Parts: sequence; structure tokens; C-alpha cells
Amino acid sequence: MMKKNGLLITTLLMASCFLSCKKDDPINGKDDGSGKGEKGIVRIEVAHFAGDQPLLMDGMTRYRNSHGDDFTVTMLKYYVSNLVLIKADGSTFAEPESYHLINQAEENSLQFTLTDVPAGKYDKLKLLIGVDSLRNVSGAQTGALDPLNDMFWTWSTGYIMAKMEGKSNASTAPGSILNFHIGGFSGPYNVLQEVVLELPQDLVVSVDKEASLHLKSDLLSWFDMPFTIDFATMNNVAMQGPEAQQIAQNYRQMFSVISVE
Amino acid sequence: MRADTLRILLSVLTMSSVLWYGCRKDDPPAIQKGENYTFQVPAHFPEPVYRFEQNPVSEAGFTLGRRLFFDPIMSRDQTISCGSCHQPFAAFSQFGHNVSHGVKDRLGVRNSPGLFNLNWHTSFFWDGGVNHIENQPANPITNPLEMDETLEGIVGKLRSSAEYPQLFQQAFGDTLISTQRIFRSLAQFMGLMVSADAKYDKVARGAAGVAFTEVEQSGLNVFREKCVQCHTEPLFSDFSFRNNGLALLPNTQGEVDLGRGVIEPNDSGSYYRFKVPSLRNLKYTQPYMHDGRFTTIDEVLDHYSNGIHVTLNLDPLLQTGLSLSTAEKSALKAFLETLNDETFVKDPRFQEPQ
Repeated sequence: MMKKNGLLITTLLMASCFLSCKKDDPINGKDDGSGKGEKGIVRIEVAHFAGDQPLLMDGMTRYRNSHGDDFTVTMLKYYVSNLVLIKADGSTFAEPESYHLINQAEENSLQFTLTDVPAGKYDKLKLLIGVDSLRNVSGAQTGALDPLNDMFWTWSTGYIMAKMEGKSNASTAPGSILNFHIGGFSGPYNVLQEVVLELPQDLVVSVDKEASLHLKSDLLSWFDMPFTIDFATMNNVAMQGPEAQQIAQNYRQMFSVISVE
Repeated sequence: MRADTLRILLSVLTMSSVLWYGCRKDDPPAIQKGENYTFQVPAHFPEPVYRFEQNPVSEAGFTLGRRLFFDPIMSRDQTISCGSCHQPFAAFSQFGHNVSHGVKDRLGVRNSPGLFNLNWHTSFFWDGGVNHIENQPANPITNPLEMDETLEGIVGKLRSSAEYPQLFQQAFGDTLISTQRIFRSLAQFMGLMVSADAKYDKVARGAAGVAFTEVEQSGLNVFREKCVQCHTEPLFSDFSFRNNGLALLPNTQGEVDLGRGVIEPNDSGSYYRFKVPSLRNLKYTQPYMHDGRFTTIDEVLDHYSNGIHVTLNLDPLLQTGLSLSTAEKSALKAFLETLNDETFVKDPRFQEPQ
């Protein structure tokens, strides 16, 4: 029942979003004075950090969470989906088929472009960290959502929204491992996080020049606020549940804007 | 591709009824031209959950799915196929095995269920862990106790095989082999496995000259009084998760199976519940229960009449067991016989390709 409601809500949200885009597009053109129907490209780049240090995934460089546990990192992957650019007047551009797997180990995945973005000035970026509920109940998918990407639970259907692996001396798990596989798309353990990033300056989209948005993604946020994670007691999360929920509520703070060009 | 599909659909639609009867009479071992590859909802069935919305069925797609289903290439050491634990003559269960055997004869933890009328299922596996028919195959493929293979491994083997690229081209328009295409062709094969031609169905659709005998009819009456609350007609399951009062015995891994609790470990209300199985085709799908602990229907009926164990989440309908007299049990067994669908288990479309 709950699942169905969630699905219905997701569907309605998506539908309303599409409707609003269509309705608003012509107005956008008028408002910002750019040519009607003109479209541009927005490049989005993600850089991973641990606090203010660039993240190195060499399994050797040590970082420290806010609980005081030091750790190394061997994997960092997560989905961002349903990207929406928002103008000051509230009109929006929603990227169609918007699913991106960000993987620190694959440089190509750290930047992607939104195409056919109506010209104008945008001051917010909305995105979902994870894969929306609807795609979790829609059968075999492809592209970023292909289960070959190793971000899918085969025994209990659903996408792993985010994965971090590494080691910590504080971890009580065998091999001192850290294993955070965060998933769950419905009911009390839904980990989906919708984030709205306020841009420090307008993102100006025009036909002439590619606009770009640089995001910082801070791994330390995963273990910091509102739940301070103690690696001695939480080090191996491999299914949906309250632990995954805590990590997800923490990592909803991971993004910040470095620059808008 | 769409035009091809349409053409196939149209030709099948025009010829289907005539040839459908022809095939059944002849029982040829291989697929004949013009056989029925459309999904038809039997008149007395409810609306299905899955209607191939994004996966239009074609003869080539179905045939590819059938080929994959029976091909041991799907397991790590190429020793077992889907069909090893889902045998056509056993209504796609594994006849006589309490639990399934995977690669290297590793023992699984649960009884391999019959496969039919899957398009009506709201979830898959005894614990309902999988929510879509297209996602179903990934589970046994990657389970170390079953096929112990990776999705990369399968895609790689299929891509480098001599025949598969061409079969994918016929099914999907080009030679690309992807997990989505593998899963969708398997869904075409398994989704067309509709079992709706048992005596019960013939009576339901008013087939000429078919009627329940007196004992079958009285079995149906008992069934509708005492069993139908969970084994809803005409699919004979409501697909809910229930604890039916089995003793909590250790499984082949030495643990008590939590059933639905494996999927929802944080909710103790889900513990010891298993998906209600259909009662169709029991003749072919023995043994019974999630771990195959009962070999005969008599044992099953004895369990419900005087073997219920009161454990956490025992279904409210079974708190005091079902009172079943000897005569009622005999009548029930006679009725359950009318749910065996020989047409289905012998359907040439679903047999292992030669």
C-alpha cells in the first residue's frame, strides 16, 4: 500500500514537473531577453573532497571523520538523478531521462552535460541523490541504471543509491573494513534525498557559450551531521534500514557549489 | 523492429485460434510456425500486473528467452540452466527435490517453485524480494548457491558465443547483448507461461460437456469455506506473505528461515511469513512448502488440520488450525486434482529446445 502511494506520488510529481516545464518555456525566453526557443548546454562537474582536502582513493591517504576515526577510501559511487534547473521566477528545465552514476574511480563520470537547456538565467539546481522510486519498480533498465554497474541488489530489488568502501582502524568488522551500501526507496527506510542547491551567481545559458557548474562533494559529510558516525559501531551497511537512513540523511549535505561559469 | 512486431502480432491474431488447437492435438516437440506468441488474459482471470508494456512479445524474443532459459551458459561453470531447477514436466518446479541444487551440487535453502501465471504475481521468490518479472533472473544467476555467475560473466559469454549475437539481432533488431535484453527475452518466455486449461478452468469458462463430479464439487465447497481466503481463485494465491504455522526448523544452512523477514529484517512483523503459493499444478510440483518439507498433499492437509505450530506472526486464520474431516480431506484432494493443467506442462512452446 505504502509502496503504491509512493509510486503514485512520484508519478504525480514527475507529471507536474513535465507540465510546468512545457508551460513555462516560452515565458522564460521573454523574461530574460534572450532569443525565443534558443537553447544551450550546461556542463556539470563534480569534485570529491574529504573536508578541504581533495579526495584520493589510493587506499593509503588517511582522513578523519568528525567522531575522530581515521580511515582510507577505496570506492565512492552514487547516483544523482532528476536534475532540474530553476529560474528566479520559478520556471524550470528538467533534464529528460536524468540518471547519472558518479564514480570517483572513473574520471569520465565526474562531468556530464545537460543539453537543450532553454536560454536564460538559472539560480537553483535541484537533484535527487539516488534513483527515484518509480525506476526501482520498473523492471530491467539500461545505461546508468544497468545492473552491470554493480549498484543494484538482485535479492531484494532496488538500486544501491550510494556506495563508499574503505578501511578504518576503528572498524570492528573483519579486515577493519568500511562498507556503506546505501539503499531503500519506499516506506520508513526510503533513503532518497532531494537537494536544492542555491547558486551563488546566476548560471547563464545561451547558444553562444557552454555554461558550467562546478560542484564540491564532501565525503566527510556522510559521517558528520546530523548523525555523528562511530566506525566502531557502524562500519558495514549492506541493506536498507535505519543505519542506511542515517548515512543518507547525512550525505544530503554533501554538495556545495564551487563556481558557476 | 516495431513494424516487424506488429506484423507478427497481426498474423498471429488472425491464425491463432485454428493453429492453437492444432498444436495441442499434435504435441510436436519443436515450435511450429504460427504458434501463439500473443499474451492473452484468460476470460476468467483478473487483470495481470505485467502486460509487456515496454517489452512487446515477438516469436524471436520468446525463442531467445527459451534458449537462454535452458542454456547452462547462464551458470558459472556451465553446468546448470534455469531449466535444471524449473523443469517443464514439473510445471517448472524441480520434481522430487525439497530444495534446489546449484552449481557443484550446492544445496539451496528453498524449494524451487513452479513457474506459471507469473504476469499476475506482485512479487517473486518465497520472500517476495524481487518486485518485477524482468528483475527476477538476476537473483538465481548471482546467488552463490544457485548459478553463482555474475551479470558481466553472462553478458561476456553470450557476446563471444557463435550464435547468440544473431539471436539477439532477430529478437531486438541489432546484435547488442545487454542485461536488459537478456532479462526482457526471459520475461517474454516466462510471461507467456499461462496455465489456464485445467478442468477447473474448463468448468469456469463453461466448456461443453465438462462438469465437476459430485466429490469434486463438494471439495470445491470445502475449499471455498476454508482455504480460499489465502488461495484466492482463480490464481489460487492472493500473493500475500503469511506464516502458515510450520515448525521453525533449521534450513540447509542451519538457520531458521525468516522468509519475508530476510527482506525486512527491521520489521519483526515480517518474520516467518512466506508468499502464499498457488495450488495449481500440485500434481507436478511436489514436494511442498518453502523448504519442500511435505512430500504429499495428505501431509499438507494433516498440517493444516492438526499440525499448526503457534509461532510469531502465525496467520490469524490458522490460530486453531483448519478442522477437516476425513471426508472433507478426500473431497479437497479430488478438487485439487482439477487444478492440474496437463495442457500447460505439455505445451510444446515451453519445452527444452532440441
